[in-house]
Amino acid sequence: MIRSRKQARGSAAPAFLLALLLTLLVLATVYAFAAHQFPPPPPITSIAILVDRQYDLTLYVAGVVFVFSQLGLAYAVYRFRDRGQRAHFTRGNVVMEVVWTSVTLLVFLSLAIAGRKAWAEGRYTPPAPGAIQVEVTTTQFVYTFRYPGEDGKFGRLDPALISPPTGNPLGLDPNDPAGRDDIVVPALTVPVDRPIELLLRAQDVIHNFFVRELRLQQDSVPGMMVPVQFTANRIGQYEIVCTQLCGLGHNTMHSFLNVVSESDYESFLKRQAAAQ
Amino acid sequence: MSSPLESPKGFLRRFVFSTDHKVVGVQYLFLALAAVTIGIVLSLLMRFHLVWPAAHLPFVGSGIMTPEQYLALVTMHGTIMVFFVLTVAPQGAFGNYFLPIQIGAPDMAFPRLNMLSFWLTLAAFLCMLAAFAVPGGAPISGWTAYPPLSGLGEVAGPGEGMGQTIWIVSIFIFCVASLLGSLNFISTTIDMRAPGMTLMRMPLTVWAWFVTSILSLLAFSVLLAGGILLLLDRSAGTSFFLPAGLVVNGEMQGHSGGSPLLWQHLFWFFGHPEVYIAILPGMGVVSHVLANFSRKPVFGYRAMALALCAIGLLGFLVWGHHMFVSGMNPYSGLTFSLLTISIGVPSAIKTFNWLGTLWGGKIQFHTPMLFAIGFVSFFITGGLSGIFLAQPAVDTMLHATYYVVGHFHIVMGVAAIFGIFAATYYWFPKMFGRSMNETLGKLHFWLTFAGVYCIFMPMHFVGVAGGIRRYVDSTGAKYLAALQPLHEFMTIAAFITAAAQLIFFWNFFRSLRNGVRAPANPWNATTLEWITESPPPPDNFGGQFPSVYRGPYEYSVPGETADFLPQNLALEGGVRASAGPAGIPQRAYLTGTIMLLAGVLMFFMALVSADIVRQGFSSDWHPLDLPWRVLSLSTAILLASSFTLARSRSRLLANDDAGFRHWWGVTAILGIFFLAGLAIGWRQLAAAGIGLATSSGSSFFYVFTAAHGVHVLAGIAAMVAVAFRSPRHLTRVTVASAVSAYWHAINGLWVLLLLFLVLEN
Repeated sequence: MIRSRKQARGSAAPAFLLALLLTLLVLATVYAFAAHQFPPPPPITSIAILVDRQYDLTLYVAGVVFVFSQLGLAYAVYRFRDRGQRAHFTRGNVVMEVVWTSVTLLVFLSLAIAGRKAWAEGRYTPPAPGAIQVEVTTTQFVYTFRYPGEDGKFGRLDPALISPPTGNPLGLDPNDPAGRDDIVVPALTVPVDRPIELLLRAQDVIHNFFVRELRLQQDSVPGMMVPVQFTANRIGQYEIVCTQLCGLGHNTMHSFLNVVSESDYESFLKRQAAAQ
Repeated sequence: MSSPLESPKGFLRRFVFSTDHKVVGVQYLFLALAAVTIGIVLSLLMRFHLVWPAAHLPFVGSGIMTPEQYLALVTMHGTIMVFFVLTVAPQGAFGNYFLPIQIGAPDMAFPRLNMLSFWLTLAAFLCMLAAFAVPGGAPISGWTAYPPLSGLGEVAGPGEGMGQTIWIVSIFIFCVASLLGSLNFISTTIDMRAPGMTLMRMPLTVWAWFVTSILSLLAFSVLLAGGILLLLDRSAGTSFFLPAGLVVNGEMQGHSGGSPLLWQHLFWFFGHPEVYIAILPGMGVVSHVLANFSRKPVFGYRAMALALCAIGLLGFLVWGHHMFVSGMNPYSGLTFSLLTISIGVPSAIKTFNWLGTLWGGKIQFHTPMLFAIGFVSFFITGGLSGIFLAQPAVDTMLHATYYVVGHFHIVMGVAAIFGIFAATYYWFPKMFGRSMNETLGKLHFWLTFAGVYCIFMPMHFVGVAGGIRRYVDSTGAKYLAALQPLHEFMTIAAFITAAAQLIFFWNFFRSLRNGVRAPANPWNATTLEWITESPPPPDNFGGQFPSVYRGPYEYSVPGETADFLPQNLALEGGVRASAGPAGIPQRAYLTGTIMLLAGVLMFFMALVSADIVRQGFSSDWHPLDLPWRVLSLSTAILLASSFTLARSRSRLLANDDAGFRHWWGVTAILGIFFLAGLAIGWRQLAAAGIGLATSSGSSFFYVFTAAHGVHVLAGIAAMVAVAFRSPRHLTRVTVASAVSAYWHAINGLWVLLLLFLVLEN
């Protein structure tokens, strides 16, 4: 009995401190998310806007659950600390268990289903007719972009011909007429408000194509051709980075996405066609 | 072999090569402590470098960290923490020590196998550390080792030569050790429970270790299969994961048609259950500790046990959520997403019931209780951040950013570690007979709890802003520099938190010698580990084996004066059962064999599905002209051996020892003939110019037959062992039955494999 009373006295301080820390955690987290101190840049596609909406929706739902359960935990440890009382005996409550479970299932599944559009758009549908195709080739540690040129056809590639020092990083076959007018450049330039279809390839290991403003990461996998669709609606220069560990220079793998006006795009194509 | 009841003599037999599950448990614990120390140092080096890249560092050669050194740290920190800390400590250490005691058993079902598991794990650990010392250093492909990067060898980067090979070999050994360990755990739980210890009277810790073992058995078999294929791609020129036309660093590679995504499927089919292998034991410990120090039964015990099973099952259906951006078919994205979200349901049951256990309790804030409550807080936080990543659309934005790093460190790293801390502070008095210092323990908790949130919460913000993980510095993209203040804050928090762990180590090692002597039941707890001395005698109960009359968490039962009722306390008017005979029940051998076969089956299923995926990925496949005549003859021999074995066993049951030996020998010889047949088949194939790396079909043919041959060889070895030397405490019938079950199953497996090969070719 003596031991128990001593214990009871000793439980107030840790109970208070724990409840305080949990409350501070909740306040700091809510503030940090609400203050948007380190926000992602504004989205530049309609799909990216959907992704942002789904992120926000998830943030609200998860945020409410977070606040209530952490504060509930804080309340429980403070309120039910050992004050010499006898614990309230219970083995559980099946009704509460079932209600709680069903509510969780319903809320979380609805959340996931609400997000399906942001995923399906651009993935479950073929690219719009007239979409501009650009092939993206990733290799340790550079991006190379290829436009089909005026004939609208990509020339044949042969891995045996790959030779970056001689200006043929993709291994373009010089004997294929379809490849004569292909434009090969180290940065991606696309016209604003036009559907784009990227075809992602990799020459050596797995890389990734990530543009924050598109809210999009996509691995490029050797042996595969992975399509990516988007329609950028804001002129500007955006960074492309690699997010799939690809070797020593992983963090230096970098390029730009230039979204330009239709006329600037035309002159870009002309300039490049002349330079090839 | 000494009987499990006696204490073996001699220092080596008692403390080093001991078969006592308690000694093995402590050995696992010390292994995990060594591993976690290294793991923490590696992470501090990384955190330091991210903030002060120009500063000189210890342990990194020239002093200034190079990218390959940083990526080696990334790989080795992850690998060491996931395998040698989060798998070893909760399951290997505490499971080993307390599972037998909590079910009232004298030891594991297979003590010598248990010892072997530990020594293999240690060998795997030393092998892994050796990767630092080889030319080129440790691998740079991360703990997930995605090919082609991990499959190409040195040409792909430093560390991808010898270092990566050693890494795979270490993982291979670790897988074998975990498989053996888990079948031991399962057999022990099924067959070694004390009288009255029904499934629904098992402590939730036992439930958690049991479910975890099933996950280990099925998941590590798949990783084992994947590891073998990756090793062959690296060293034998096969093309399981490496496609045609690779040009690496200007060099054309000679592979053809492999699928890089195949590795990711195999890896994450293991990798996701691995997350639960790390966290489930922590859930068990937390339920156990919360009930003890709230002085209340676990709220919804049955739901808690079922939720553990549900998490285990669902854990096998969600691996694709690691691959949303991998190039996998986007239609599977939503399926994996919904399945992943469903794990929220059993997880919510757990959280709700933990709160329910605290609610109305009489909460005593001993150090283990603080860590258990901390676990609940982390589990809530990390579980909720997982809801974002479970949705493919949101994942395309957050994947491979620091958001993911923050998420999994909180939910699988830190929560699991808090489970380990709770277990350590809770069971230390039982394990070492002395108590840890409470004041230091609490100080350790406050600093770690606050510190961990300061390290990993800001990572979420870095991730949302697009900060990418596994980057050696922030110079690659312009926008990364803006996130440096957050990195500085996290690094400082990391160093303070790491320093707080010194308090733990000091407290731990000092208490081993100088801690206050612990009574048998310092926490007034109910389960069977507390009815025996601290530390327990070699047979755990000093010959007085308990019978069980109650559930595991009978605290504050109305009408009782004591606020806890031990599980072995007889009901009023009930007959007090006499101590049951201690020993290993014969049926455990059959259970163990069936579990082994489950692992073997999973291993071959992984290989067969790899074959199917691989053939579907590329059109480079063409039918093989297999040496059908030799294969048919070998198959006939193998089938005949099943009949001779059945005959042998029936002679044994008829007490005809000579007849048993005769047919037993015939079976083993037929097995050798089968292997010889296989060897001839291989020679014929090789003579026809078809080698291991000739085509994907031939690669799989050689792998199937070699893997099956190894299992036949193991069966023959077991037969020889039984014929010459049968363990004293076992009957011939037990062993012969177990070996027979194995042999028939392996033969059946051969028939299935052959059918698959016939259909394929």
